[in-house]
Amino acid sequence: MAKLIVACGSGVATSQTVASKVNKLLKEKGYGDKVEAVDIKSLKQFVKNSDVYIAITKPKEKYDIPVLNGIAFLTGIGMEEELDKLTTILDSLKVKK
Amino acid sequence: MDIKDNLIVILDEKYSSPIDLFNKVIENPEISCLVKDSFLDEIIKREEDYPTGISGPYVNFAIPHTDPDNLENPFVAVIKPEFPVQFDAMGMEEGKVLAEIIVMLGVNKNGQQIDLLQKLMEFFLNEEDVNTIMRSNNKEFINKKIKNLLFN
Repeated sequence: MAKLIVACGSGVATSQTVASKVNKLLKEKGYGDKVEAVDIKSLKQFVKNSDVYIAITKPKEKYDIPVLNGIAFLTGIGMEEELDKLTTILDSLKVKK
Repeated sequence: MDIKDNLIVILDEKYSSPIDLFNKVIENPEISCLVKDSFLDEIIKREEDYPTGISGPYVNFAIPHTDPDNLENPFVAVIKPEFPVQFDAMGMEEGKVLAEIIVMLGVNKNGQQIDLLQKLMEFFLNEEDVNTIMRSNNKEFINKKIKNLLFN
């Protein structure tokens, strides 16, 4: 399974809401991959071991893994496009394995 | 105290910036009793590091919040200023958002906040509900309507 992470400033509301939403959408599409809400202070560490980073804050640097726009999942605006991007990435990861 | 007992609506104030807004809102006696002394600095800092302005399809808004350690009791403050207040955009977007309505979230980590935030986002995507709230200038009406939308 691919490892997906989301992080936000206070770890209270936004990251968990996005994680919850994405997990639900992925399940509906038949994907078992899960998103984890992580502490943004340790983001760099988590990124090393993850496959996709769903960002709801401005990324402070370039990461080696794909970065998606998490706000789309929070507000629902542009969500379909972002979800398509995510499932395309997940599909390509499965093929590599 | 449950969060739904602490839904506060503030209308028609003038704010020159998010910091000005935070200062004035937290001074409001309905809110100051619900937060610790650290809340003001923390929410200013959080907004600077991780801004919360969002361009919605029907209205521009902001959802400032910070660590629940700074709360005495959970609350939601709905602020409709006299003039839109300029926030920075949340997430990967560049630019500014002229927020016409600000929802300050004094939420705890108990899981309730996910449901609340999702309902809040659904509200902002509903043209009719947004227009109803934006057109009203009656505190009680707005309070009742938002309570209904968020806590049902």
